Amino acid sequence: MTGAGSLTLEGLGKSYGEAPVVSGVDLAIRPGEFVTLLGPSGCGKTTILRMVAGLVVPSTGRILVDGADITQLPTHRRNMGLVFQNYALFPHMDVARNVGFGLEMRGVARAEAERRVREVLDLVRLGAYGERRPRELSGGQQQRVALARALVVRPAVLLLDEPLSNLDAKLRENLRDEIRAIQERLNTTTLFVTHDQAEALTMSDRVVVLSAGRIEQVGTPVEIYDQPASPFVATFIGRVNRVDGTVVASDATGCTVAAPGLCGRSLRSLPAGARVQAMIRPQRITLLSGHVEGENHLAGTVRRVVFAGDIVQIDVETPAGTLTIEQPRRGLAAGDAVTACWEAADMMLFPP
Amino acid sequence: MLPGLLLLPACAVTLVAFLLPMGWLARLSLGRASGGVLLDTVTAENYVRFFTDSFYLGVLWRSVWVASSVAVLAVLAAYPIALFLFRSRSRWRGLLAVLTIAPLLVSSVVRTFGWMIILGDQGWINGALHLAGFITAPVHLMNNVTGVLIGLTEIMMPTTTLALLAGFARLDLTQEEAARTLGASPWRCFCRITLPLTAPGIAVAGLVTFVLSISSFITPSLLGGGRVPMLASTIYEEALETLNWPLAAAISLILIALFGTALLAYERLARRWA
Repeated sequence: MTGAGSLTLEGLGKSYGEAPVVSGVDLAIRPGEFVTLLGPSGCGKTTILRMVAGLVVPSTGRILVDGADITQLPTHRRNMGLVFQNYALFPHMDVARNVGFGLEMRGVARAEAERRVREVLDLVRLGAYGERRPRELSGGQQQRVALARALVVRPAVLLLDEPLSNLDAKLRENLRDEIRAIQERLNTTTLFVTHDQAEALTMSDRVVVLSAGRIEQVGTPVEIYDQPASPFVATFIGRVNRVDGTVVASDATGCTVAAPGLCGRSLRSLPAGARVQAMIRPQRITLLSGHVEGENHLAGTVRRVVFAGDIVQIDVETPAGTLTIEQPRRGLAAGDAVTACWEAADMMLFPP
Repeated sequence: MLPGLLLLPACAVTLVAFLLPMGWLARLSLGRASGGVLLDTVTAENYVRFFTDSFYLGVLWRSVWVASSVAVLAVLAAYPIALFLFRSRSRWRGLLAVLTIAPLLVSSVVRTFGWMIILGDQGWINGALHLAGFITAPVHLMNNVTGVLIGLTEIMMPTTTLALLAGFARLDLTQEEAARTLGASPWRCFCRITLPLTAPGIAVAGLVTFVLSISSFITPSLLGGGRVPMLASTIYEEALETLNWPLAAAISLILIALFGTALLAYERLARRWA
């Protein structure tokens, strides 16, 4: 059961009246690839997905599947599998008829259709639920039915529109892994829309970060986490501490940044004299007891300690501003003198 | 204790204003009138007369037939409007909804007179057809069943539209989108998803329209021109012109029995969807 098409978006844009919702989106997705559109609500990610599905007509640009232009094709001839946030199961049909709906529309012979429905229901571990009505299932089960319904037609591209948002946290993680495992097994090209960065990072081959209808960055989860292309990406993926400073010296291997109380070293070269934002992730900062001098060392005082189970979150007040540090080690208390330090590779620099 | 007490006023009103008169009506229907004077007897002759006299059976049959037709026509005409309003995300949606039910602000007497101007032998339609040279003698669109059907259907449509909208709760637009992405053409999507999911609305709108049509009085009287006797107008005539109150009471109870039958049919349908 494979349905791996390549999906290409060329200059895709959508405007309602004067206001552009999506503009100039270029993206090439390889067959079998799992790509996530990630961004805050209103960034246009769902609009892009709906344009691919044919539910929204693009204002500009083209959509190609396996090189063929499908921009003008009506929804029902596109061979897409779409999974909705609210499941959108048909309440008047049992699970098997729901899953078999796409096959019925394609005129697949009954015996063949029944076999494929059984197969895909087994795949989502709902083999025994074929005769149930959707309302008799839990949220997680309903979403697995929706997934089966989209997969059984062997879609060129599987489109997932925030499929996990209506589920509780524990279930969300399970289903996340399950969707990814099924997707890898079937090698289905998948476009996944979410605002949840944890989902994006754990599930995707590549992540497309969107802001205000434009692509901010496309990259593997590691790339967008470790080498964010913009302050927006850095702040949207994970959490960051921000320190404003000035580049005082620069060479081929990096540059030296000065901020109040800090002589910092980064591996990124920016011209001397430039004002910069330095960003350091809370988990990449190590705390030393007392005040210690050194490169990428920033002395300060513990202001607040928040116990959060696996980790402890510590706010440290420094001359360059308050830093938040997350570490598994406990034992610090408010008022303690500490020094925050980090590796040069962990200090990301952006022009302001 | 208090919630129970709070029900008392409503119960008392229902008892005095509804149940007691109904009991009295039932008793009256078993009586006999002679020259406008009620005689103290118990007899089933009013019912026997109704179900053996071809005139009254004709009235019954015509009422059921006209009300059913109006229910079907009004649902057919109002369904696209209701579906459009339900689906619309336009900022004009509120205004359009108000426009749809605005006719309810005008008395049905006035609206029926409006239809008489349009449908009459010297009315707009006949005038236009005559002017265009299609006809030499007027087409009779009034003072017959045609006029009653046209007028009642339009009079009922705002109510039918509201009832349809109220019954569309099961339909979710993403279900239609899901069907479309799964390969259903717009027409098959309508037949397999939209229609079944809006069926409760169709049933409730059909019931409401049927019940209101079969008991309607003004429009059938005016547009029927006295030649389309229906149950309500017959009750009026028996009570106020022939002064045969027991027969009028019997016909009233038969009308109520018809309501009950329609309600039971609806109940059985509704239980299937519950």
